[in-house]
Amino acid sequence: MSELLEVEGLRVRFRTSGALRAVARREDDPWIDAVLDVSFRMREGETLALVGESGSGKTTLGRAIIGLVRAQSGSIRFEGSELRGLGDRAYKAYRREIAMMFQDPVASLSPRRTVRGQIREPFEVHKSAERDGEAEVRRLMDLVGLPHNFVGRFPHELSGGQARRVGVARALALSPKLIIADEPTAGLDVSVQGEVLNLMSGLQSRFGMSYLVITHNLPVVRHTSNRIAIMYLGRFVEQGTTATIFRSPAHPYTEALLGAVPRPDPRRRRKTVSIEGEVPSLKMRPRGCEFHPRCPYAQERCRHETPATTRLEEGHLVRCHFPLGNGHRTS
Amino acid sequence: MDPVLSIRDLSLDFETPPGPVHALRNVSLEVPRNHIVGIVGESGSGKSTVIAAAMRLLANNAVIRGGEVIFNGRDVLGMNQEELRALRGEEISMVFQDPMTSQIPVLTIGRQMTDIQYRRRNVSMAEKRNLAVEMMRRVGISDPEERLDQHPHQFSGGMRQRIAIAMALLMNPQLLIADEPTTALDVTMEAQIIHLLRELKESFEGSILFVSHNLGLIAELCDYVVVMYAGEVVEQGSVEDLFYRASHPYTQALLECDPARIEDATPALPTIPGDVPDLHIVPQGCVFAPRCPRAVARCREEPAQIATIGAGHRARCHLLGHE
Repeated sequence: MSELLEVEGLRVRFRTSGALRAVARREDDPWIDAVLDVSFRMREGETLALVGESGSGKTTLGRAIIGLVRAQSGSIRFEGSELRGLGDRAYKAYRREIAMMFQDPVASLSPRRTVRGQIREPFEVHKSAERDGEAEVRRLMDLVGLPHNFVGRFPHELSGGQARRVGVARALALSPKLIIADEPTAGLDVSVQGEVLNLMSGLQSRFGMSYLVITHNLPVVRHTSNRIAIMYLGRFVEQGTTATIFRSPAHPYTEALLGAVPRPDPRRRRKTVSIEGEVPSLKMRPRGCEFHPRCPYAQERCRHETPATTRLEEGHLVRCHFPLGNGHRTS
Repeated sequence: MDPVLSIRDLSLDFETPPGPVHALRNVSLEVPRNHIVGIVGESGSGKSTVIAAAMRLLANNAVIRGGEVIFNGRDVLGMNQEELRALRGEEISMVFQDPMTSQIPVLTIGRQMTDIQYRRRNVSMAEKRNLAVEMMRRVGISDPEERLDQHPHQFSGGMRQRIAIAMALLMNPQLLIADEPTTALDVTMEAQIIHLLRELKESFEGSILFVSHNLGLIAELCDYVVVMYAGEVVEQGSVEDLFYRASHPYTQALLECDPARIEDATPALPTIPGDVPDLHIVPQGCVFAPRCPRAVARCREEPAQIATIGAGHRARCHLLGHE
């Protein structure tokens, strides 16, 4: 299979204060790195999940790929063409191929447009030679399982699950090759979550597009993604196949994230907390391994030396001096 | 011993322009002393309305059609404003879902935590502040003396939820109501807050009513569980009853849908087909019948009655026989 997306050494920085203010406050570095040194590849028809806590940079990475935020350095190649540094007009052409489903199903729809208007919008924006607009709307509504009599409804008249289906229809409209789905199931009830995920995987087996799913919910990605990348403070700390990540996580942070998922079993209650504290501020990245202040296995070397990414086996990458599974695993 | 909170046959409507919404129908539940009771249900199940009724924090268009709410032997529905003021914050306190909006942004945390103690007239300001420091320490906030002088925006979401819990426990309430207290937090912080609630439960004399849609959290924390669907309690029992002997088809379906319970990767996740009914018109039969995989003709015709399955374990379903 061919590579659809290749990201190399990507870095996204944000200014935290204006140039003048930075001078006045004597800040020598008024920047934060929201995404730092991120590299990965995606093949056609594959689902990759980006998992991390809030502030880990997963949404920023997704937005950088579709060109909604500018990346400072590195490269984003889509089907072999470089996207980083393209102007808005040039980028627009690629947004037919890469679509995005935003967080919050209802708020990501325009409150003043009906379902028909929402679904037609991608065609209007891209001045697509519409065969038959109305037929296209009906075709997309059928694909996502929305009854035709919803066509005149406004977002406030939709449930969360129905609004999410409209979001899927919009993303699907121009037959993209890649859909970036930012928290596709957040805020939905468990029974509805399953419906949305089943819909997305059904569409994938039919049309063969790839998904980049951004989420903090590990149980959800277990059933829908081929590979998982774990982000911490803007970096990938581990990536591997879904089975590997769940069966033998190599990074202590991955292990902690898996341990933090509540178990729906009253006989297997956890006595201890798998991870203490919270994500440090991006303005004060810890020295050495950035995870060491929260890492239960941290050693002297972790405090001083930044770990490089190492390959444990084909496709399983980890950024840790002492990957788990080499005699370090305690549980 | 008497339960600290007892809700009996509570029915409540919301008046809306198209007509009343029958939001709660014959809801009965009890919170025993020194225990944690969980209410689980999907959006629109009425779980938030139940706790709003328990604290009388209902919207103006709410009309109570029947039933009673008894807190420590006293009827909450009959209380006047003065009695309610004495009840809220002192005997019952609440932790809300969104920690980013539940504190006053322009006052320091210390000011808010001393203000809460306004009823302690013979306690000096310095002593109130010491109590606040002590409580901040108990919920796991380091350097509480300095941090009391900070404003809410200087804390992270997880810290703010810890502070909300500290504030709620400051007056030693007999009942703490927590409404989805971890929904806005990351899973790592969620695990910490659940652990904290369990630890605090060991040391404070009181009960917790914990509302959540997350079955994992209910299993981790609660002693008893109440399952709600479309404004009714469909099943209740001990946490073991619910997770090992779920009897109502809705409870069973809800457990099946939870991706955290599915160990093997599956491309097709289970769902509950259909939608929650519109409560302007309550279905004639069982409320879950339109979505129930096991519904028979009788389920669509007659309302379901409560069946007793075991001690304290009850479900509202025709298929389980009658009491």
